[in-house]
Amino acid sequence: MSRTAWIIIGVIVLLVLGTIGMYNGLVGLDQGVKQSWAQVENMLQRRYDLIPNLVSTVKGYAKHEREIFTQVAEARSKLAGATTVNQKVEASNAMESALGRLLAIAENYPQLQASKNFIALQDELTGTENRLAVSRMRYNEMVQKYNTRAKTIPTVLFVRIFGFDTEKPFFKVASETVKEVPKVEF
Amino acid sequence: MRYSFVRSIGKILVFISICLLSAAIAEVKFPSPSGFVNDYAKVLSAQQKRELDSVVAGLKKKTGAELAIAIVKSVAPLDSKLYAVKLFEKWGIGEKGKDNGVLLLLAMEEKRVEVEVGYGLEGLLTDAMAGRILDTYAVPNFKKGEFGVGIVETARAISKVIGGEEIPLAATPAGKGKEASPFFLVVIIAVIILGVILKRPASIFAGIFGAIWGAAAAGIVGAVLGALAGFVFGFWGLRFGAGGRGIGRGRGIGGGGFGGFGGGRSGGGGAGRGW
Repeated sequence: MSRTAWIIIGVIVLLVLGTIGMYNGLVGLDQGVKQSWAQVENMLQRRYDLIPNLVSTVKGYAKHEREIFTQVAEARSKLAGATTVNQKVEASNAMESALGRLLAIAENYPQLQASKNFIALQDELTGTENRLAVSRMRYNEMVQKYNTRAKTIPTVLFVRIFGFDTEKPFFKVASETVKEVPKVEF
Repeated sequence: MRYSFVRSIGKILVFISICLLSAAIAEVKFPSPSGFVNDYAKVLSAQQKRELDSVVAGLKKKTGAELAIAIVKSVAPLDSKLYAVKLFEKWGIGEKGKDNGVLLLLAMEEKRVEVEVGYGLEGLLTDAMAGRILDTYAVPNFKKGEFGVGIVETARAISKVIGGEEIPLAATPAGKGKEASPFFLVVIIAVIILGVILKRPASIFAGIFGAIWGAAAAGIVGAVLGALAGFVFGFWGLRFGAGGRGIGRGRGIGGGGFGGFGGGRSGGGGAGRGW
């Protein structure tokens, strides 16, 4: 065969190998994102499970603060109803605001503050929030890796053809919550 | 045509230098461990250090769990819990696969003590238990300025709990101190997200953002410029060397023959207290 023919074959082989490499790379990163998201969901579930206990403990001392309990219940059902990643992010942020307000209200009840149960619950809640923060951080790190790969040449040209997402959503915190951060001191 | 290209290069170079400057300013240096007990703030007496060494060695021998102690002068610009999480990650405390590590961190300037528990020990050393241990053994001593005594007693308590023993715990909490509210985590998350979106290490840009909360104006401008620069690099796929140094990658194991920890992982469990 002529030299040109060999060169053409060589180029085709390289292209095929390159394409396979790109595809597999995307698969790996995609799985990384999925796995870290599963961890986030684990932690969201953990927080979800803690809440009834927290609410009933606070209610034991602050029965008439009905508004906040309703808000927490609403936030909780919104979280239960969320299906897509973005819905879950929104619901999770709403839950965080509601919880923050609940804890702020709880500060007005010294007997509650001193109760062993409440302290243990607060530790568990803080621990869960910490875990959630860590899992979100790791999820976002995975998303960043994926998005960077999916948006840079040459992968960006093939992403849609391969059937992958062109971009994955970050777990963004609602901007108002960030601005409102009060320095809660006991 | 060519002139405008040169100008864009010029702009990019400006971004590079801004990025380098903010990176240098905000670089968080995580220390390397020289052993299980690391006193960077010179808080422990020689006797206390020896006691701690034996407590952690005994625990390691009995259960394989790795209890690391780190006393730092300051964790700025990070939040003490985030610092603990990152330090745990960097040191890899606990046996690989078993994730049986615990980090007891003291931030002297911020007056906070954090317990970061590895995945494998979360069942034994729950968040509530960690909190009660701190309330019983750490905070009362720290409030009196007895840091060495507090650390030794806390380490002993943690070691006993991991070993499956019962320990006496205070009936009532030792005053509330400053507890990290969930809101702090909202701040941390925003910091992390910004750092992640801006590519290389979250710690650097976390530093920038941290500066915003610390001292307004100038910090914000720096952060915005840093953010822009990061975005430009992200799109152009430039590997930014200064970024890599942030979390002390490659700094590896400290001197003096300490072989390092087992490579365990943690996920943010445990508890913290202020004093």
